[in-house]
Amino acid sequence: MSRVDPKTVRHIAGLARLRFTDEQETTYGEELAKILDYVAILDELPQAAQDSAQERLSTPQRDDVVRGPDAPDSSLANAPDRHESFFRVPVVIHEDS
Amino acid sequence: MSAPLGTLRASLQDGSTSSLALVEEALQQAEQQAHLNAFISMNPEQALQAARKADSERSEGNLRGPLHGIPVAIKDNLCTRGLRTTCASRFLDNFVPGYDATVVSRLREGGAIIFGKTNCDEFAMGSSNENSAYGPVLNPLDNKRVPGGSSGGSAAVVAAGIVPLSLGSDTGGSVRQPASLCGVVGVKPTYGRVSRNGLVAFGSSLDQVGPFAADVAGAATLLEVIAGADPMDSTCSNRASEPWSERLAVSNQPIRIGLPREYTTDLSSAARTALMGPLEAMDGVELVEVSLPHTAYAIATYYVLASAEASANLARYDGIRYGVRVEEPGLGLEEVYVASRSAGFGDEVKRRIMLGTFALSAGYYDAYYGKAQQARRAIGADFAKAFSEVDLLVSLTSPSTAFELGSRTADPISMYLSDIFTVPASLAGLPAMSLPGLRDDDGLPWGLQVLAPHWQEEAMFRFAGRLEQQVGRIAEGQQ
Repeated sequence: MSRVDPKTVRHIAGLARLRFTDEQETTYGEELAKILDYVAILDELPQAAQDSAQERLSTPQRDDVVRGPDAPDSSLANAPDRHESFFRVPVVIHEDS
Repeated sequence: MSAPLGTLRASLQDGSTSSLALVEEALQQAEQQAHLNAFISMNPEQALQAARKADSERSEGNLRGPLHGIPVAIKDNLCTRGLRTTCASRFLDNFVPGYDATVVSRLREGGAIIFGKTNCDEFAMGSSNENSAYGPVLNPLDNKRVPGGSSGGSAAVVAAGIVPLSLGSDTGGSVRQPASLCGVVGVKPTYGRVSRNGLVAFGSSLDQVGPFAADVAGAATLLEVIAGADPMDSTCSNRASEPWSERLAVSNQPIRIGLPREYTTDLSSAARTALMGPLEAMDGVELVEVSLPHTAYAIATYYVLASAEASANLARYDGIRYGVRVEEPGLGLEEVYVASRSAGFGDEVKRRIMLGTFALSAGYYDAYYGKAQQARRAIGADFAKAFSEVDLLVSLTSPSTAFELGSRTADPISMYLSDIFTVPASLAGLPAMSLPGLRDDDGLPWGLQVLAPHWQEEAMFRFAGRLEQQVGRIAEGQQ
């Protein structure tokens, strides 16, 4: 039985840029543990299967064609906050006080 | 509009109906069946205007394609220029795309009418349509039951006779499973058959856009219009679309059909009868048991890989360039990302982002993501071997008919297992489709799944057409 403690949930949530309440940390930890128990079946994958050859796929090529720019108006149309042709974001550089 | 596409096309052709009449009827139906909650956004004015244009072009003898003047509903994770595209997420509640997905622009160029945007599970994550921020979709055949998911709205609008055709997307069964539960035809094409440009990404190595229709011929026609090379998607093959709908002429040509042992061993006797009844009654069909030995790993493989890809794809939702931004005084940039994502995503999306992030994180990558990649290859190899012995495979699409709302929401694993028969073909990139089979004791349809080797949509559609006729004959006899 896997156990995913609140500390691990917080670590993963931090990587995923998510935040949970204490209660949610417990719930997500329990759910994640159940899912990890289920996917543990992958440990039983036979060695022969692990060695199966990778199918080779090819990527279609296309010519480089210059197209009209999609910016700035259509790119900015959905911006939650904008200033002229810029996305406005919270201050990231603070003056030393 | 319960008539299949072919009948509607004939009526448009002989002038007994018009595109305007079809769209007006669809609007009326959508209103009458608003309780299904199948649409998130509509633009009736734009649809009526497109219908008038289609009628005027028809009167001038200018037909753009086989779907000229036909209303088509679009899953709300496909971008539509100027029409809100939410992915059924609060995060994108106000998102209006500046461009059309390639499949949508092919429909418009082909004279089809973009009728509205259908409800679905948030970011296409779910098997019951209960994960939508806009509320669940009800199954038109029994309003206490789910329509399946994630493309539940697209399946429901065709099953309810609101529109004759719709588009969904299928990552692990999200077209085929709702088609099965609603009693319509749904197709997942070969990976790379249809452009993903403008399809909001979930699991990029699995996602494919696919058609819903009332019958096999309708689904084949819709796929013809949307398939084919696209310079905007480098995973889209250069193979041209084919006139599949014209090649459906039914013959009793001998064919070898494989029945995967792993898909039949645990079936209830009712389920087994639903599968075997039509197949055993067909002429020229040799049924052969085959084995897909790595099937037991499929669901685990799928949830690790799809969630890993989702965690990367959904990293773009940061509240800066589009979507909902949660901004409070004093929050720094990083905190705005966290607050926006935490408020904007629903539970199932967060669960999968967490699983995916975990599976990709240092120390766990080899054990989960690496192992799942190996299992995926083994599952692909199983199919290759099976297709060296038989022409096509047939199974049920889903282990059950439509289940009741709320009955599986408490346990993510039981919900994930709804996709046990559809996920393997997604992992292998194979074409597969669901068509309505016989009905259970409650009158709910079983879905029959036909799976074909890569790029063999023609063989898949031809056999599905035969099977459709056989199911029709049996159903007629039972009445």
